[in-house]
Amino acid sequence: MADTNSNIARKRQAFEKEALPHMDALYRTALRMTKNVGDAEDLVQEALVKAYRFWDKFETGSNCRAWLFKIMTNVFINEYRSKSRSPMSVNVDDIDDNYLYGQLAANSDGDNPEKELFAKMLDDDVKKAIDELPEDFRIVVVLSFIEGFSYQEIAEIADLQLGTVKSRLHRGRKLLQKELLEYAIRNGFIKGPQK
Amino acid sequence: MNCQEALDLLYEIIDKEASEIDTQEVKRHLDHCQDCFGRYQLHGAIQSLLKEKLKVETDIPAIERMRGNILSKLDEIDAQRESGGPKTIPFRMPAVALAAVAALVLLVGTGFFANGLYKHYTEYIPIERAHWAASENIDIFKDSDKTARMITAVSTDFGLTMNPDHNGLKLVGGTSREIRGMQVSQFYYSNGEYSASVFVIPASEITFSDDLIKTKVTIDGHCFYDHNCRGCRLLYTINGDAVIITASTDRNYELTKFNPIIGAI
Ligand SMILES: [Zn+2]
Repeated sequence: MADTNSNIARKRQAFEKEALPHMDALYRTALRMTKNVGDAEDLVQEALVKAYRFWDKFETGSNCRAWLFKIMTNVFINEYRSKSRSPMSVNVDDIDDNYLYGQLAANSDGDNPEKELFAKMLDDDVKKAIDELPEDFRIVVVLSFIEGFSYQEIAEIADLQLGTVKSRLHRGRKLLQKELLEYAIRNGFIKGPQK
Repeated sequence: MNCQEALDLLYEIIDKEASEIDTQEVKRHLDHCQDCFGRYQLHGAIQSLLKEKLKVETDIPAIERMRGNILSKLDEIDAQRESGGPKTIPFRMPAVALAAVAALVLLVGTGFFANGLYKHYTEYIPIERAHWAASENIDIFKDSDKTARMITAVSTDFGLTMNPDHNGLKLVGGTSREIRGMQVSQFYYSNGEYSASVFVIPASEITFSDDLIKTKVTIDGHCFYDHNCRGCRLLYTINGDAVIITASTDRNYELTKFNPIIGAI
């Protein structure tokens, strides 16, 4: 059945009010997913137009933000990521959870080494560390760290088992710690590991 | 609670995913354990650092640009809806929905796949090329791991074996895409001149509506093309639990002689 004009106008109004305000957050995450501005803009636009086509499927009162991220993540996985896919062959099992803690404690003189270290890091350095994560880890890390989604929400957004979300987040964190520490050593913020 | 137990809960506590009881127990442990406290402090600091450093200043020009583009796309969609475009949409298929389909001509054939496996619907639908054209975005088919996974998927899900090479068309690759909420497997074939896309979709995801039946036009085995719509040629077949849609970018290619599924004809 064709929609009546007033029906269409109502849908449009609701969409603009409920969905479009999330554009900023979607773009922030799209930047970390695609790692470039042009693709990020395309991805956000594609996701929101798609969301509008599906607007009837969105249940009023449910979590619009999570629903939009699900659509965007899906578009990204299906259409963007195969372009520049890095192989998923990173072994993180040999990185200890407390790697950074141990290194910081051993190599710093101050009482609060992490504060000193982080004070010196630039935003771009941290973004670069995130961008260097393998894609499967990066997606869950970004959804968790930047957007603050719960494990359960991430599982739904990225279509993963809860256990997979936890393990990717965990492994992503280990890698990040390693990258941050290497960065800090490279830039002379802390001394290198002592044998 | 000992140190190991406290540390096992570290990320769940930081992410506020731990239960109330666990959270209280960990708090009690940290009150008297300097070592664990230090670790929690560090990881908490890393978390705040990341959140702080990853904050992105709203890029107003980018947001305005995207907003403008999106709104004009929405206008197009609204205009289509107002003109009653969706009335002729028989399938929950995007290309059909998106295309400014002037007419939908359906041919229900009986002769093309006579022996069993195909229950055969054959249809020719003028359709906006951009959304189905096999030549579009060919890079997405070049991932050999993904292709192997998709071949396995249609085999596991539907018992279908993709033909690597048939009637001159060779399988280039496969991928999965979401199309109007359906997870669709898409395979791309080419002979260097013509190309064809084969979409494999769970039959349960497709509805053959009354509207479709009403618009049915039978043309004795002849194809229907629509130049105004830059029409691709489509062939629909039902094979067990799967609907297979074959689309060719070349309207002269005899799709009925191309069988992407081994053993189906
Ligand atoms: Zn302890």
